Amino acid sequence: MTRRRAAALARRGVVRRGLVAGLLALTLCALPARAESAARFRTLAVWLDAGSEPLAAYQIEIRASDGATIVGVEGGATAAFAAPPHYDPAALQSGRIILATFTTAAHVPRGRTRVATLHVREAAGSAPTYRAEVVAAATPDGRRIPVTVELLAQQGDPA
Amino acid sequence: MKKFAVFGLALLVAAVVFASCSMKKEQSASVPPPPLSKDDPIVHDGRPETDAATAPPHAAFGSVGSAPKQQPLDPNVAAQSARPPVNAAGTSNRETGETEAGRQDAGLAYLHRPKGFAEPGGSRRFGDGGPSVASPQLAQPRAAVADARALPALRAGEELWVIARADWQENGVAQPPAEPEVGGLKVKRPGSDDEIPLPLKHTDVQASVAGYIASVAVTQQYENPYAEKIEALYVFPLPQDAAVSEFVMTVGERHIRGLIRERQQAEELYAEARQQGYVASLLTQERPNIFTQAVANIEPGKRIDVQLTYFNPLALHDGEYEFVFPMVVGPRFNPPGSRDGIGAVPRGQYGSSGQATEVHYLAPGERSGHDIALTVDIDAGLPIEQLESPTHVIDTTAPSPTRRRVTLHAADSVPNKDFVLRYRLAGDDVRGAFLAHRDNRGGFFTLMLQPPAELAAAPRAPMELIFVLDCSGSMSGAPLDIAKRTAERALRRLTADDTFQIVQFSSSAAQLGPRPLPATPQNLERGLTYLNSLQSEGGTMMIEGIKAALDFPHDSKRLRVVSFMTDGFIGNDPEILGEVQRRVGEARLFSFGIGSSTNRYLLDRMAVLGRGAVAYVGLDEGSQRAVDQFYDRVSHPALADLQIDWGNLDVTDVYPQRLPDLFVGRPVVVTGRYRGDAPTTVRVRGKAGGVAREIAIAVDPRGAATRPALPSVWARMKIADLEDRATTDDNRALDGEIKQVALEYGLMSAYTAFLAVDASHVTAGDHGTTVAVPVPVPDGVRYDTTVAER
Repeated sequence: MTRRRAAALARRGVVRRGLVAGLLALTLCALPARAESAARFRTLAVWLDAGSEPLAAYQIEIRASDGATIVGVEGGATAAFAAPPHYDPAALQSGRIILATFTTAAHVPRGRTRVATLHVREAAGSAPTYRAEVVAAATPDGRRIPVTVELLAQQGDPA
Repeated sequence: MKKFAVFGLALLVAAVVFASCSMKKEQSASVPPPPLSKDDPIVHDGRPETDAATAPPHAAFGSVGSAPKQQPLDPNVAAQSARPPVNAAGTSNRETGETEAGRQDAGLAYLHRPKGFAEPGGSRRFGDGGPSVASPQLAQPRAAVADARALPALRAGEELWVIARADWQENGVAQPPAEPEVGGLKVKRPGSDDEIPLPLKHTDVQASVAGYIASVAVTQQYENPYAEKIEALYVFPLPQDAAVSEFVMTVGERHIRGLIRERQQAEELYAEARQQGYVASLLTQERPNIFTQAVANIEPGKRIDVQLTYFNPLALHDGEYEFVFPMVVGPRFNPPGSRDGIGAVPRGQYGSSGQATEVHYLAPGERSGHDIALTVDIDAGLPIEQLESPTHVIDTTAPSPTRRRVTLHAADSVPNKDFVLRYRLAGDDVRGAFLAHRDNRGGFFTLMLQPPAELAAAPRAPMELIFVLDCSGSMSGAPLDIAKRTAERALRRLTADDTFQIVQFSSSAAQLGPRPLPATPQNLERGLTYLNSLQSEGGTMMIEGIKAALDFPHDSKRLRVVSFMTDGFIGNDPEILGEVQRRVGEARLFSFGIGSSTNRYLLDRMAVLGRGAVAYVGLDEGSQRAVDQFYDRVSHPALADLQIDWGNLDVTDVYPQRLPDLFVGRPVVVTGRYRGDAPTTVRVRGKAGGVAREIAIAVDPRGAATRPALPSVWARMKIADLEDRATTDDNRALDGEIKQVALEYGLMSAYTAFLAVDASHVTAGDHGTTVAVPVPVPDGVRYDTTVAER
């Protein structure tokens, strides 16, 4: 392998990692439309996948389309993220919620982890969509890491 | 090219994730780990979703035989109950084990909850336009103590109910303890074994003070002692300058953060969630120091915790820092025709006051099972020299010379008076007089302005001293006696150049004479005789007292000083504050809060708007201290007409916008936004006794740390400023501005509210009955002249 080829591969690797880390992940989660006469309440689980990296901090932004109102933010499934994340009240006024938290727990999760649950109210007859984006994520030593985010409708929701 | 590749890859990632996400609900198993299931121990709080709130405890009790008889309970009429059965809710119900319907073991009787229980109907919908007159009819209360060590294991989907302890039983009938409980969920009437169940069990207060800013977490523990679902309503006080910025509802092991919303929207969402059977909580502000907590759909035996967190700056008076935590709202008087006041009603008499907000009070001799624990951690930065509570018994530990941990003594845990803690630091310096914080919104600061020391040497001008005494029913007894003693002490220190007047008000106002009298010995005796003749009775038409004190020609040779002595138990605070603003003119208004749970919002703002100062005289402390401090203020000229030169600091949005005068011994905190990092000298200029004076304060914003309290404190002080303007300005834009600031900074206000809904679980049955949490009248306040008569 020539040095030029090795350098190109290395650059590509850097670019790829940069892509993942820089763009992070974007999730569009279209929930099925429902024609209901009354508003409904439901929950959406927020999952982050940090791969093999330990996850100690994150900031994500979630946008909801018309018809959805967030009425609570719950903590996650692991002890490290059991406390509900903080939110930016100013962002909440513009139809989005920015969640952020960090943990100093000795044991932090790796891989795919439910870090929060959103409690939402959906207007009657609406079929809101939700979009989540990772702003930043980091390890316990403060190193930024690429993560992906998913929003999942909780099982057990009233259909 | 690379950019296209990046974009393409991003689209691919998004598309894959999107496709994956869209399929998740149906094909969750395709992406490990799977989404949450009903058995996920984190999602659920130990309650089986399918059978939660479905057990008919009263029906089930009958099958065991040792349970108390069941009959409806009207909280107005205490239950003829024996010791209520005990619920083991909160322990895991997912373990496997024995499944018999009931058994006795280790002094406990157990029962597994069956399914199919339908909740009875409720009586009132929250936020539906005013108080209801419905009286809740509830079934038998159930308490909540369990000896977990003796619990049998259960199968999935079953729940364990411990219905009675054998050692509470006598001849097969459960016996209540002989003495009234504190810390349980009941009150007992004097001379009776009747117990009145209450949904608020305990309040826990954890405060930490760094410098002169306190961060306080208040946790209210609600528990449903009834056999039916309830909504709990609790009207409670907080400090008037509290910047309430966090709200978390805990259901089982799950913590749900509430979000700030416009008040009307939050109320509508809460009502909707409540109607549909979701556990929900709503925090609204009735006055800057009075809040209502509503918790909907509390299932029988279940516990819901609500924690709110606030910041507030401590007062610093005469070298003493003062931390105050109010514990009970005093019974307010509302003028005839008022509908948006704070009503005081006997326990259970819903809607009888006709006011938008009602506080329910326990009758004399009734005791609340609600207790309070309080801890204050002080990190002063300088050695702490003196520390005391004039109101409560405290335990103190000293981890270091600069730190103290103060806890409320267990024997003093009845929440019927303000908790006051005072301490002094070594030396005269204020630690961290300038505090700064930076974040992506910019810089925020607080600055404590100390009056110049030389003010204490300057003589005062002659005074026209007007004493205004509240002689309404709520001042009956000790409060009026203290007010009289305080006024008497102050009168005796007048000099020959002064004049004085005594005004008393209750349902109307009266005064010593048509005009102020010179402070001659004869006139002072006349004044003291008049003072001693005052009796308390009737309502609190404070506006009459204000008119009488301020509406007469000003004596240009004398400084008019109005001393307002009251507990502040009125429900029309904004109207009173508006009148003070309109009428105060050149006078200085000094308010004296008399009693154990005074309306500190009213008294503080009266002093601010009246360009004076406030002092509080508790029931257990003499008036000497307050009078001495009052004379310290009025015996020396204040530094007035303040102007601040911020030096190299680019400062905006300073609050209070109208800077108060600086009195001897009374530093003032101002707050603002700033840009710039260069150290500078801030110069405060003003006039005292006609002489120009200047204070120089070195500030170094380079030391800006992460002090998340400061943006909240700034926003709260801005809201207070806007509220003051709104008392005399009908411009509705002020309301909108208050709301906008509150929403942007996530704070409670009159126009915002915190809401949390647990959408993961629908409780069974109707939304249940609304139960207001009754509270004791404050220490020293008579029920018969306040609650019963109003």
